[in-house]
Amino acid sequence: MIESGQLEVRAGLVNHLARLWRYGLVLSGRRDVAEDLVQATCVRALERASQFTRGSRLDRWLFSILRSIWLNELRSRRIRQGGGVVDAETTLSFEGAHEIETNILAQQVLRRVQLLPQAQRETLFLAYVEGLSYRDTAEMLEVPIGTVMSRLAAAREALSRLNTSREDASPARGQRR
Amino acid sequence: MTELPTGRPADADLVALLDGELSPAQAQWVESWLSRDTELRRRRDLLAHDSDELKGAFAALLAEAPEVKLERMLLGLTGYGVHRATAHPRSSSFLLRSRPRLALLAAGIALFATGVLVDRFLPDWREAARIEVTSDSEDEWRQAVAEYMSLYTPETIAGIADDPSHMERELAVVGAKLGVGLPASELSLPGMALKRAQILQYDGKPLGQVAYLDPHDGVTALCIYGDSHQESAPTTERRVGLNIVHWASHGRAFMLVGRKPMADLRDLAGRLSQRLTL
Repeated sequence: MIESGQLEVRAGLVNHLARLWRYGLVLSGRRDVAEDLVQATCVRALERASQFTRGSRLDRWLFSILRSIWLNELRSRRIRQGGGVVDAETTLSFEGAHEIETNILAQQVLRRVQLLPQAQRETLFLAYVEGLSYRDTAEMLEVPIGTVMSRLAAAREALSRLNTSREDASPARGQRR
Repeated sequence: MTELPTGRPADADLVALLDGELSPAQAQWVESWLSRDTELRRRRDLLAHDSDELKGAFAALLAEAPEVKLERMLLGLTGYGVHRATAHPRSSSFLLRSRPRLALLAAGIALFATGVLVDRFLPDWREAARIEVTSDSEDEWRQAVAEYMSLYTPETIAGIADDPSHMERELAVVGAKLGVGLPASELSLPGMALKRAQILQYDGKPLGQVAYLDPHDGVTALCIYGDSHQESAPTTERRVGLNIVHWASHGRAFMLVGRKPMADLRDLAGRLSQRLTL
């Protein structure tokens, strides 16, 4: 007999693949690793589908699984292999040649985010891109709310600084807000 | 966040205020400091980073997710297959119901699309179509269309010249094939250029596609499929990273699909569903 929570996981998984991949990319900085992370997350989610509480947020549950796999398995394996976690060529960025204006701006934003320390980058992503509350972000990251607050403040300050230096370097792009 | 605020607010407090995460008492404490502390106001302004810019950049990144590849991966997982045998047909994933007829849609593309598109993507589509799953659900065509539309970029149709009389002729051909009246005047949508109308096929039945282009959200398409048995009011869904509003009337199924925000798409679909007469 299949529990309804299990059905919810199986029916809902497909709706979250792209966001899981993006989170995997934020964590690992590599597209291939992000794909591996999504696959491992799906496998784990299907194995543990009975543990999912019906009616709760499936996306958050899947994010937690992905993060746990990243921290416990893939990242450590990569470090053991001596390959490092993120190298300069495989950071957050767009692929392809569609260099239209919006993507150039987006590319610059991602480059600046990429310069943040990993913990700040992930906190910023969860709170401001995925829209988690401070409390939910803290739970996801398993840190106190005060840590979320200080990471966000530090990230904002760093982004502001990077943005200012970009404006100094290219006066044609004046507007930030 | 529950302790009583004391002393001068720190950066984290200013950011929490900007993010709307402070309790009323805490917000009042920070604001009272801001009202009398110029340096603190300067600090707040420095930290007031525009999160819309951030969201926009990451939304663009989301659009680059290899969704078809990931969906195929999911389909191949052992535990996922169990779903087919055990789940209720209506609650099962559209993915499992959508694969068998992709080859037919691909055939439709081969007939009508440009060579570049087909050469580049057809092998991939054929590979996907080899996955054999049988089902007869009515919404399979929408998944097939969504996957097809996910291959479109603005450049796919941007080069088509705006020629009203040619557009009318294309619409007349598509309308006649589907038995639907499709005058350009009824199909026009605000801020969007009508670029192309064409006939595809899905599962041996005609599938009409009317493509729009607008500078902000790229390609939006109205698709009409001549095989629907149930009437339905406009309903929203999301497939392959695209927003969709679909409805059905008089034996035909309609879908409006694109990258526009769902609320905008719903509004446009409401206009079209009222105007299109059968």
